[in-house]
Amino acid sequence: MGNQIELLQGTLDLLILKTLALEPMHGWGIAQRIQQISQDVLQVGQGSLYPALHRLEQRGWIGSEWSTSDNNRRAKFYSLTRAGKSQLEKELGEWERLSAAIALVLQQS
Amino acid sequence: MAIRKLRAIFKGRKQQENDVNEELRFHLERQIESNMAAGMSVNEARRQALIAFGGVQQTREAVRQVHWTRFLDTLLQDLRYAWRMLIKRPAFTSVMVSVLTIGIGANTAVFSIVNAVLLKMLPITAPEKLVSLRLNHGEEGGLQLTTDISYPVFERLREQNQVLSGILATGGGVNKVDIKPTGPGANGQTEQAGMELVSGGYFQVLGVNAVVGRTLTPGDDKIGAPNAVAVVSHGYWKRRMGLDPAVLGKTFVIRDMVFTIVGVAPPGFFGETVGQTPDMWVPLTLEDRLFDEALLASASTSWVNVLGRLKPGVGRQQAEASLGLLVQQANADLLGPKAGKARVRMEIAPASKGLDVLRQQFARPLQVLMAVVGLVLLIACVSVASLLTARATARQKEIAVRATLGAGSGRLMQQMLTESILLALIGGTLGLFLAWSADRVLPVLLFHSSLSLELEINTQVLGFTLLVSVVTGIIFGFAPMLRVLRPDLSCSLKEHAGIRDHRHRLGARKIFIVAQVALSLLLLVTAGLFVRSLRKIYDLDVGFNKENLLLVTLQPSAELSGARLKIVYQDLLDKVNALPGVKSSSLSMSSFADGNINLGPFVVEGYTPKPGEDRSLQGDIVSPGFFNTMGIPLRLGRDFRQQDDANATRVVIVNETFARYFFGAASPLGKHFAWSRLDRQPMEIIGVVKDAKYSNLKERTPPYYYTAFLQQDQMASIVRLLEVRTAANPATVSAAVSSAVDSINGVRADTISTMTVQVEESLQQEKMLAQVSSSFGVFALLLACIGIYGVMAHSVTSRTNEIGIRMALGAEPFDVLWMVLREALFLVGLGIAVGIPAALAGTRLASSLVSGLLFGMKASDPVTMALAALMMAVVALLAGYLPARRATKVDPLVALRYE
Repeated sequence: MGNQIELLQGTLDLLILKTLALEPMHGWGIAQRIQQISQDVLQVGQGSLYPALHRLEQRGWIGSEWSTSDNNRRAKFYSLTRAGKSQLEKELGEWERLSAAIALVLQQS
Repeated sequence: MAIRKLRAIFKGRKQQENDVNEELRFHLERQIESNMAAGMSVNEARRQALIAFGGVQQTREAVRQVHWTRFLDTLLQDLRYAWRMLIKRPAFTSVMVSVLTIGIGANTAVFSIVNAVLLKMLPITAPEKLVSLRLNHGEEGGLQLTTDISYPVFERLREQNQVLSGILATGGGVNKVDIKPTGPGANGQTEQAGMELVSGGYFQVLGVNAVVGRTLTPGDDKIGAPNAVAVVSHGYWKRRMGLDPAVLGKTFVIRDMVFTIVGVAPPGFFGETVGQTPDMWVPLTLEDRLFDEALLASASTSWVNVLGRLKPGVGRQQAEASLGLLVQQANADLLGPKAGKARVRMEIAPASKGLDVLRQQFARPLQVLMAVVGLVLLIACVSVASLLTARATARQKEIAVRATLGAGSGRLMQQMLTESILLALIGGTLGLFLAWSADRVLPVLLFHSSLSLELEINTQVLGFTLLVSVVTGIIFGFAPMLRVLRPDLSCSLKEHAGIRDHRHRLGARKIFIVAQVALSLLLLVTAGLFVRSLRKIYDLDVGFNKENLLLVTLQPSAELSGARLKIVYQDLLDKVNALPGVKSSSLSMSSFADGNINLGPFVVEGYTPKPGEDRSLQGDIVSPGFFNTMGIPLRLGRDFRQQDDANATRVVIVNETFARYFFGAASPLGKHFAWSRLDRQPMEIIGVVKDAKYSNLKERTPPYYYTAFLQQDQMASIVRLLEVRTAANPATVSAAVSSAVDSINGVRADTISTMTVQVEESLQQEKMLAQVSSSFGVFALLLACIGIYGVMAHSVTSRTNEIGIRMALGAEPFDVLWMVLREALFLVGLGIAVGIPAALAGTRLASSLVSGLLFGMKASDPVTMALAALMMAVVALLAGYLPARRATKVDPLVALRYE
């Protein structure tokens, strides 16, 4: 597991929003999905996942609802709100500009 | 709906905690399942899941932190927003803040007095266990005669009782004495201080410790103790000594006796009697060296107030029986066997709230005051609610925008509540300052100048103000919320809502106006009752001429007695009469509102007392010329003469009520009356004078008699009042009279006052109630005026269109004027229709409270009710007139284009 990367503050929010853009999901599912898609490079610590989810919910970017999970237990499912969608787009744009800028700087040397 | 939302906010917290727990548990379980699916054993799966998860508790904390931060953020944000909204409309805000300041300030001020007088227990240890001990001498002329206890008997009780765990005595009241600080740093100036004589065990029995030095001990209070010591009050230490830490060992002189200060009492300790604030406590046994009339050694003079604590398990009756026996024994030993046989019982009563004159006397007026200021606060609430609703209407668009942008109604409510509570807290803070300054004035208005009260803004008062402010804020904050939360967004967003809608919106404000009018009416009725009652008292015939009458209390030296005193007093009268500006002068024992002799049982010639009749009579002792000086007309017979002296027939003059009561239509002249117990010769009635007021203006004139000063022996020394009838303002001769008195050997002028002042002072309570309640009544009227004006102005604006049409159709300006005024009158009429029955019900409920304070009228006085209603109607017309006039100026053409 030596190739894992700690997530930067702020990027976790972006990843959560992006993940939820696909479908409503519970906390564990979000963590799993991020891990899978990043091929185990990105490990989401629960200690930061849940505070982030609650923070995003309070900002009104994601909503939540209790419903039954695939294994028939009650779970809290999060979904993207309209405000969340536009926030996601905004953050994606910013991320792309930032990474492009960093790439430019790195290629220079 | 608003209430449900509010409840949801509070319930939300608990729910949230549970949700977080469940969410985290779910996560863990899924992780374990997933690990097991990967082939781990149950235990291993669990272990790995927990490792991966990190600290469950930390995560929970972190989530909670998010919510807290959020809450504080919102609160700060709301406060900032609320503050911006408040300062954006300074005029509007300052009106609301001043209304609240007055409302909350008045309540705080009255509460601080109520707290000090009615609620505060004595600042001592276990006050509920404290009892007062008094002697009951049985019935005497229809009166239960109870007295204090003599010092020698108190000593016996202290040494020999088996039922008390502690006993203390005081000299009964605070004595004003001249003290002169001595020693280094003293300026040698004489100053007045209030001193209380207390027994050595006083502080120990009360359970009060000194904050500096020590309290008095039984050792300090031994007869003939070499060193005189004193404990000063915290207030005195602060006021006169600036909390000087080197207070111990400081000395001062009272009457050539040097006292050393040994300690300072704790702050807030005012002794055992509410309303008295002694500056210092000194040992009781110094009494015979501090005062001319030494009572200490006398076993027949009952003058010490005794308090004690019952031993655990000892009942009141048991203690009364046991102590009663001790008293009888002591009396037999000290006064002879005859005195020991007298029927004396011990009476024990709880003393927990102090031996308080103050509470008994002022409980009612204070309760009335509290009710009045409560009403004022309610009116303030309603009028602020009405103002806020008006603003909420104006802000509806802003709020609707915020709501469509996603602010939930709970969120909006929180915001608005923050705003109203902030408003109330600002009002409360200012109110506290108002109360603080009122606390300097109110006690003077309320109490006689002789009673002082240590009022302070303490934690109870602060707590009260905070509570009142927050509750007030919530109450008036609800009103605009009801408006805002009406889910009528689309309508509010439209620039112009129709006429119908405006009318609909005014509904809530109109209800407020009706409520405000009704509440104000209640207050006006209260004020009206007190004012009219005071007027009635002023209209009473006092029976003497109170103008231009100077009253001087005399301080004859103890050596003057009997015949010698009479000669000295005659000199004094001659000297005073010779002064320019003095018409005549006389002497008496008592003056108006100043206490009379009450003696009994009497025997009146030819009169058979009815069974159960109160057989005591009030009277006075007066010199010749008294009636002339006082301006009391003689109805029958003659005045006292110089010849009516100790050798002549004993004579008495009675008032008209006396004559009517005992002799009916027959002439009382030449008839006799006497005291049956005292072996006195009967007195012959030689004159009848007009009825007057004796104890207070409100009394029903009792049968009253006057005996001749020149015929008294021991009683002569209690004649200490000089009346001087002056030609002009008595103030101009008071200095001359005072020095004339002082020029006589052995007599000193103690206090100088005038009859007008005395009469006014006796009406202090009535005047205070009338003044305070009518000022608040004016305040309520003003608020009602503002409220009605606001609603009518709004109504006219929103009906411009309709008014234009009416005028285009030929309505005269007067019709329009009347149309608007009619609406205002209708609102007030509704308020009156609600208010009058409420006032009637209120006065019925509070009749026991109020009627004792009213004179010559019932609480349901129809004239007062009618006057109050009329005043309200006039205010409605005044407040409605400006908007109504504006309505008549509406130009039909402009108005029709208005839409």
